[in-house]
Amino acid sequence: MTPAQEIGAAPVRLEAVSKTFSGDVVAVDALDLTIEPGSLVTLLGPSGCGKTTTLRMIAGLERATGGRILIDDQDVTRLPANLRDVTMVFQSYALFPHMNVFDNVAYGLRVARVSGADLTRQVAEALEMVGMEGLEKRSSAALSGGQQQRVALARALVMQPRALLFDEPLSNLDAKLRRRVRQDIRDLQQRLGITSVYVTHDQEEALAISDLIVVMQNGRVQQTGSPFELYTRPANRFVADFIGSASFLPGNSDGEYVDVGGYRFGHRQKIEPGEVTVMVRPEAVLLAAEMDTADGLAETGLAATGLAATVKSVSYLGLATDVVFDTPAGELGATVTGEGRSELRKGDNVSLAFRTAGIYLLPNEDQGGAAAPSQGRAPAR
Amino acid sequence: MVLENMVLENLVPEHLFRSTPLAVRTISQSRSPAVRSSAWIFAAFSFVVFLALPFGRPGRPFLTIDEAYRPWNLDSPWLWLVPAMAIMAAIAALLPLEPIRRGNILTAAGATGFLIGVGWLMATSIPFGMGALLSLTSLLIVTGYGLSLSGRIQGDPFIACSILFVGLLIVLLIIYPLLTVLQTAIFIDGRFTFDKIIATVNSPRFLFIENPYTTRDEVALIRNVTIAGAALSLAWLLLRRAAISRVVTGTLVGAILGLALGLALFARGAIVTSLTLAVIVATVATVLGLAFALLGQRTRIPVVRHSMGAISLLPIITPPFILAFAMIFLLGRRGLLTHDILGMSSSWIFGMPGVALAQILAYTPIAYLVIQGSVAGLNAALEEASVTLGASRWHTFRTITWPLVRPGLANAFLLSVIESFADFGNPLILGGDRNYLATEVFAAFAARFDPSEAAVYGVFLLIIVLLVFYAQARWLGQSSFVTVTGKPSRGGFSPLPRALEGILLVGFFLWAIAVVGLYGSIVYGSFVQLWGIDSTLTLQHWRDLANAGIPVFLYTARIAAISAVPAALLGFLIAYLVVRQNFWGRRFLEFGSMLSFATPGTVMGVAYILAFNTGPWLLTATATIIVLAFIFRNMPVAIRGGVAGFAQIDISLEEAATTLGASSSRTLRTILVPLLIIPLIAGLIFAFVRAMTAISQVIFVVSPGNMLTTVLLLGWVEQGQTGRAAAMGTLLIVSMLTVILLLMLLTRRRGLASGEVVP
Amino acid sequence: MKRIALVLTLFMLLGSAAFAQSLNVLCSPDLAWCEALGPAYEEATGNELDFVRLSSSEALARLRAEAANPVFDVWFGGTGDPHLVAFHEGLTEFYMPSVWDELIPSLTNAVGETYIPLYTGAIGFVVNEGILAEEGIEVPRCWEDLTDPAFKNLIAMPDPNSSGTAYTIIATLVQIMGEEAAFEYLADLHQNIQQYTRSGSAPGQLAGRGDVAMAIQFLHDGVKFAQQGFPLTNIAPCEGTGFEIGGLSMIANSPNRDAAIEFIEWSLTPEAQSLAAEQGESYQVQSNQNTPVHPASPDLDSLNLIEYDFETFGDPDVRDRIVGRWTNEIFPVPR
Repeated sequence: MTPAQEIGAAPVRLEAVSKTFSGDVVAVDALDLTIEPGSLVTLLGPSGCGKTTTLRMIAGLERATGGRILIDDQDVTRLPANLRDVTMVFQSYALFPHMNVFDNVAYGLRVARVSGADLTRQVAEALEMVGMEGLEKRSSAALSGGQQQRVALARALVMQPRALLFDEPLSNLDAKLRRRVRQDIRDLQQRLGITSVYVTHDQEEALAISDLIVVMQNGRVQQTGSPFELYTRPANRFVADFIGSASFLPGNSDGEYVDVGGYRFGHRQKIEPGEVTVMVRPEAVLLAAEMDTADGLAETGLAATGLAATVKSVSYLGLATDVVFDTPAGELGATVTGEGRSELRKGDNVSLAFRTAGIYLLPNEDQGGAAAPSQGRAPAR
Repeated sequence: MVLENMVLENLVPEHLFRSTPLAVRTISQSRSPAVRSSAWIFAAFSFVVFLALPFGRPGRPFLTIDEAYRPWNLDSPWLWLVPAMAIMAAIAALLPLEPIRRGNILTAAGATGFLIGVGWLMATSIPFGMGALLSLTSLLIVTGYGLSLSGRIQGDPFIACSILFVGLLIVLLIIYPLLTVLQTAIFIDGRFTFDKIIATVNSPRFLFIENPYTTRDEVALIRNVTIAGAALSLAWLLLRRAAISRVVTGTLVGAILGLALGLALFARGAIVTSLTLAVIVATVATVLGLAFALLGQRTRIPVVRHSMGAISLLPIITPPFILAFAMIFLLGRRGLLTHDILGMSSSWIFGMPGVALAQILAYTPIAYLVIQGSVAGLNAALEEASVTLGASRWHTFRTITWPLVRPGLANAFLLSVIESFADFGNPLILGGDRNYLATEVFAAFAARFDPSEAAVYGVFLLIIVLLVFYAQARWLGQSSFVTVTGKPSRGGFSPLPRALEGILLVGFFLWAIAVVGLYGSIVYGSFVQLWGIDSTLTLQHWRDLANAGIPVFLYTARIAAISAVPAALLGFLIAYLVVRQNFWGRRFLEFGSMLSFATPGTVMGVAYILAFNTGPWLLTATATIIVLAFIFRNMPVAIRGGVAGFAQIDISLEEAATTLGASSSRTLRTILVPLLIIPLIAGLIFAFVRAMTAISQVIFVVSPGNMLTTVLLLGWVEQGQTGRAAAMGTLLIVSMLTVILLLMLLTRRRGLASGEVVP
Repeated sequence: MKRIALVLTLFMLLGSAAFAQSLNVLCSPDLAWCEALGPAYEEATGNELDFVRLSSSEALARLRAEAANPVFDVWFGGTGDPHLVAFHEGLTEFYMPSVWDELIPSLTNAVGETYIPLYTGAIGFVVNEGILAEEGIEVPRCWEDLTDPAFKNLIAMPDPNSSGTAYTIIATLVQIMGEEAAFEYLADLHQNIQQYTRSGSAPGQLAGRGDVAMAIQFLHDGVKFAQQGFPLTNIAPCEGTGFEIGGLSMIANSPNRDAAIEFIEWSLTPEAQSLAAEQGESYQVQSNQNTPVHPASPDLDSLNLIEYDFETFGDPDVRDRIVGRWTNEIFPVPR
């Protein structure tokens, strides 16, 4: 046996997978996705975007109404869930309440006719992996939420599945525990090299854990990429808005420089000249007073003037100060960390500049007809 | 497998080849799709059984091996397609085919063989033999495998087979008999005609208006009442200055109500009697049910509060006509209460008043159970809020409590209407000189031997009951099929207004005295020489019972027990399919199960005797037909229990089991059954108790050697064997009470434990 | 899956195994007599029987329903008319018992070779004198007395739709008065009837309990209730009265023909017929002349028996017409 067999990491491929519920409600629309063996891919999006449906189709709990699903290059589209060799960790943990920890973890092994010493050993190893050794006899109902989720993870891992699926596994845990368990999941996944698909609506969780993130909306993929790509080069306004927070200002590009409300700066991005939408991450906004000392400032054009702005509101958060500015181009949210922030008052007139790292130009969505307009969405947390 | 591994090696990146603590990999192989399908076992079984056992049978006994009914002696080339399809399916199951193609072949072969077999039986009208039963059943299983493999039914073969089986059973044992009733009503001597319907509707037994023996003119009276109804509502609406459209519809409604009232007052006949009775009984039972529910929740007297649970049990453990029987002795012309104490000499008890009283006694607990659910869901805080706002108790009751319990009341009312309508035992004993739809079905069939007339009455009864069910579903959403339960809310309820509580308590005590008196008199009647005439104490009736009754009682218990297991399991399975699975025809399954619940027993009884007396499904005069009747009569109780149970279980538990490789049958067995063991046992016991106390359906299907307790008891009551009947009634009540109490004990003990584990 | 198939099969087998083959008797006399038959028959012949008790009209309906696949082998007892109807419809076949010549000749002559006479009994009034006294009514002696409005709600009789006894009553009245007069009489009587019972003997029970003052039915049933302790008196109407010839028939195409014959032969022996009064609470005069008449049985010789026309009134068409006429003209009229 080669190590590859032991690990059981398998590629998962979705080819034009669709799911239509009761006639005409399209939950997932012609989704294409390739998940490399051993990687962790997160499906991210607001509720109702089709991410959970996609996950359940991979598991076999929902049947795709179109397209093909391949696990390990085997077409499993119509294969029942119990034969797919794919296990899942559920949001509600789904521990069998009438069984103890050992029996829960052993459930799948028993289905697969593993017994005796093999069974005991494999269960023990799985529990050890999740740090739950010694609690075998505990009733599953007598565990805390975090412990329950670890047992659920052990129960899924012990099967050495071809793919491991996570359906918002942390959303029932409190914030602190969530960070810890998510790090444990990531460590374990990387150590074992199990192909994993992870569903969440929490962008921070997605950024922290994923090799690759698939941002979905209305049953369609908006963008697929690494966390860094998504943050710095979002494909459209929806992605930009969903991953981190950002302000969007109308601008005009001549291919080299862009003009936003009179503030003109250079860019190296390839974009059709004309109207554009400028995504500005809050940490990219600098007070003009700090310009001299700041790094990575956007290269200004001929007239090196900043963006004229009026302070609309100020919230002091300790490490930083959140400021909302009124600018000629529209409202702009900023996270200011520099010295000058303590003096900002509502109504002050200031001049602003942008750091290149937090700026990205999007084709103007009104004209460009992007797939998913995101008007009226509240900024992501 | 080899191919898979090669692909893996090529695709998995180098950095993943790190050590893993999981050393032995044994799982993947066993979970991959099989090279062959185990459907071959069933296909082969079908083939073998086809050859080994006769396909048909000459008479009723199933187990006769009659050479004339061997396939090769039946001289029918078509029949050989059945084993041919079995062989084809077996080959397809054994060849290494791609699953979808294999599924399609299995589906086609299984379904073709099955349909040809069934079609052959229907065409020749030869009663099915063991060979046909087993061989066609196996082919159905093969079809289920096929549908599952080809993906036409989402789910594993177990689910697919379950769907097919349940569907088949519902078609064969619910839909088909009812269609036979319809057919009997409109096809007479092989000719389509409405003659029988017209003749029945015109018959004075159905509707009788003008009475030549009275001086009054009934038609004119009814017309006058109708006009008065219309005029009253017109005047009322005009005074209220209602919109013109409302005035028109309101006047129409007034006229209809007037007509109904006029008919109820002056007309006779089964349709009028049954409808009037149903409305009266439902109204009183609902009012009493509400009173009891309010008392149970907020009386100042704890004893009353605690005795409510026992009350709700009464109708379950008592055969419907036992109370009527006891009423004769307490309330008849020479009744203990009416004659000896009150000095009356009146036969009022025979006729509508007596039937109404018996039905009210029987259905008030049912109404109480339904209303109690909605009363328990009342919010004490709301009422307290109202009281703190300065409202009087009466005002609070009228504005807060009343609107909240109204849906429960409507539900209880409609349920009582249906029960009263379908009741058979009470009118039979106390009906007096009036006709009732349910007894007319029986009289038309058993006494006049006019199956068509019985069918017409049955169709009327069924239509009215289904209309009421439909109204209930429209008004109250889909809560009708699932028991109405509310979570009791915390908080102290404001006690009832003193005056109201007083009235309610008087009502309750009267009711309690009546019930205790009636049950007590049954026990008393079993120990005296001649009930009502000679009060010498004796054990003679119990000795008679031991000779003539106990064997029947034990036989009935055996049949009831045999039927309870499949009733509970089938009900549970249907609940699972309906709640947890999504498939084409699910609504049909729901409808079919609802139909078996809604159909009055007499209609189902006549349907069974019409459908299973001849032809391919010959079953009458066997224990089998009684068992089947019980199963499909009592299954809905288990369905409701199951539906309520599944609603409490997180669906992720089943999905977790599925992704861990468990088939749905294994998930049912290892996850759902252990978690729902209490509802399952409850379903089992209720199915048993209901079978023990049922009368209306089985009175049609009993046969020599297959006599049932209730039918025997009814015969004794009619024959005047009162002492023996009282003894049997006592035995039945006491034994059923014991069974139910055991269940409650079990539920309470396990209830605590399961309360901890169920999330 | 396999396990489920197994369970299903087992269940089916269990269901069918519960059905055992033995002599099936459709029994129309009093339940106690029916119940006494089995043990005595087993003792005499070593064979077992199962019975269903149905009134004679219901029994006829049942036989019609099951004509294609008879369940029963013998129809024991019940008024003769339905037996005659069944014979004419081919539901039963005549079997000549070996003791034919020992049966009361007037009975065998009356029925001819259609069914076997089993017993005979006369129609009359079964009266609860206590109730009558309470209501201040004289004990009725004649049919005419019963239409007196004083009897309102105090009389019970069986329903001809379900009881052969009731048909015998109506046929008797038709023979005494003529059809039109009889129906006028029945309409008047109807106003006094408190209820029509499903079974022929139930009215006496109502009278015995005091729910009505008197019953119209067979006098031997009155004897039965009196023997049980009910305060009842038998009265033969002065205008004369009809009587029945209780029948015994073999079902056509019976599943157990030999057993049926054995049972018929046994049931006509004096020993078997004595069961009726000794254990069966049935006090009819038995058809075998050698059967001793029970002392409590009504003495038929002292009654004013009419020349009952069994041939005419046993004709199914006549019966259906008369019962139909009663059902449509008399029964539904409110009282």
